[in-house]
Amino acid sequence: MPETVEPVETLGTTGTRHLWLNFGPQHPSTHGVLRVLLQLDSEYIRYAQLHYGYLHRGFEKLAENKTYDQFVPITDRLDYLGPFFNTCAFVMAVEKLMGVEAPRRAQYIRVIMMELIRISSHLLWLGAFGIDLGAITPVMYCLRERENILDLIEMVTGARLTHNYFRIGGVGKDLPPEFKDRAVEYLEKSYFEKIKDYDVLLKKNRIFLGRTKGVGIVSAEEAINYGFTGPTLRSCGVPFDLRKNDPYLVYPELKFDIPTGDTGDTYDRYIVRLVELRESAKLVIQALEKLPEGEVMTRDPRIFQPPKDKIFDNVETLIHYCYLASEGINAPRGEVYARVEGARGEFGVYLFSNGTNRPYRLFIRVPTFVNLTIVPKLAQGRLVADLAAILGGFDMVLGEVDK
Amino acid sequence: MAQEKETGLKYSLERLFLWEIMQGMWLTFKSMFSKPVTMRYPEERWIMPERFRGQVALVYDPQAEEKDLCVGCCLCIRVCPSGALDIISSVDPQTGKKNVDDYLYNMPRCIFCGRCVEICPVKALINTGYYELAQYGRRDLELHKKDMLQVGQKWKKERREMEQQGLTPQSLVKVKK
Ligand code: SF4
Ligand code: SF4
Repeated sequence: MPETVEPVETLGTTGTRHLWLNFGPQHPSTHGVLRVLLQLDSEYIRYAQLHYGYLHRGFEKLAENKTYDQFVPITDRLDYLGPFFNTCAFVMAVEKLMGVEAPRRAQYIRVIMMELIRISSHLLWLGAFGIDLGAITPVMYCLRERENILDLIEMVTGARLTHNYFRIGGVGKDLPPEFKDRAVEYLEKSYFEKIKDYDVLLKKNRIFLGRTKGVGIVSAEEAINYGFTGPTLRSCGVPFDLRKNDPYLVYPELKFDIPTGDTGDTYDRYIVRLVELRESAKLVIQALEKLPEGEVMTRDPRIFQPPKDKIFDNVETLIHYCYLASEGINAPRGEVYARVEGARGEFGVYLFSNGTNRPYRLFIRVPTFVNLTIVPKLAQGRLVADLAAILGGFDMVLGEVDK
Repeated sequence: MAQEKETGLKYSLERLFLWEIMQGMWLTFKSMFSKPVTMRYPEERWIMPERFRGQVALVYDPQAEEKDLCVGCCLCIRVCPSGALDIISSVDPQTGKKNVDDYLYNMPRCIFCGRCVEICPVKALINTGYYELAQYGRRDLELHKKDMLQVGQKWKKERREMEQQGLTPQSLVKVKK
């Protein structure tokens, strides 16, 4: 167990009083509204405390007052840099509860969209991480690349941020016909080359190395004890990835590697995410090649809305349509837990249903909330500037941390 | 991950001549000659993709002039996750038919999810491509049936013009002053 340090009122090593400092909630390095309360001994951190909750919107309570379908667009607002993961975990939980499965084409589309959004999320992280450490250039390039990915996503879902694309039992609409060619062309022609360029900007840069090597070291054992997941855990040398260790959707049919680091410092987190950027792109290309033909929505009558041009043919269809629309999906009693590997780690949804059309209780397990718990320990005895590097390495999104 | 060797002549030379910094500089220098990727919004803007979900609007019946399609089934109100829609309706005492007197759309509440458009059984609602929705007051953002029909008509006209000009979605257009 880590040795606990309490804040003290005695004099510091230089004979001056300890200084209390609020790092955030408006500090740009906190990527949102995280507040870290610091007690400083000259420029070194003696004691750090995390304060969450500035962006709390009460998603779990909100879900209890919405039908299952109505909550789907709202999940997009949790982790707003990787919205597909949230939605996927939620719809997979409901599907598990009802015992249905999305058609194979829908599953492939889900994988494609999730990997694309993983790329976009990691790219934004790369840029923001550069800024945290004083490198302004990468963010310009990363945003440019992210723009291309978002264009692809926008073509399919119609939105850049709040997609509302996955549905319970499938996906909203099929991929547009020109999507495949455009995506493959972009990814194969320019994407890999660009990632290599961005790697050059930071990988061997001596300022970057100085700021990240040996900063925020977490051992593998510690990482497991703290409940780390995602790239943060893999950077500590633990090859754990839900896509491989608890496969969901069609991931078992696709080939990809899981990168791991060996020292568990902030530099390894950078390396792991950069390899993931390439692996995800390879996954998208593979999935697009294997994409089967067929339906994108399950035909289960408890979920499937009859098509609009058929509903006026006979009255039963019309009643069914109106009933499903106004009543929503009635899930059976039970409790389930569904999880996906998000861009930041395990995103899980625990659902308790009492047999009505609304969840009785919804619990959302978010990765960064758990990953961040180690920050006070890592910050101890480090410079304030190192805290920015440590926080940056965790790739937090406050929309997700605060729920 | 294999660690790089941190000794040897090559390493020392790279350290001495700031090789990695030079590489980075070269990258930024090269991009001075590439085409800018930004657009000069608002003089330039782009055509929203087909599936874009902007402001919600009502449409007129294509068969009958000055008649909207809404039948007052209230399904859109039921499915809306944020309660942005409402209907004021009455029953005609003579014919016993339901009349939609007014349709209320509270835009500040709308999260542009598109569920109402998806569910409307008679296709009376559409998602337009309008996204610059700021107004001076909250009152201007509460749209009634008349306003929504106007918006829908305007959008349909613009879309038709766009198609005539052969503009594809996600391409840039210059805005005429
Ligand atoms: S787009 Fe969504 S939030 Fe807006 S009115 Fe329609 S259903 Fe409601
Ligand atoms: S769903 Fe369509 S027809 Fe029914 S009330 Fe809404 S707009 Fe009118």
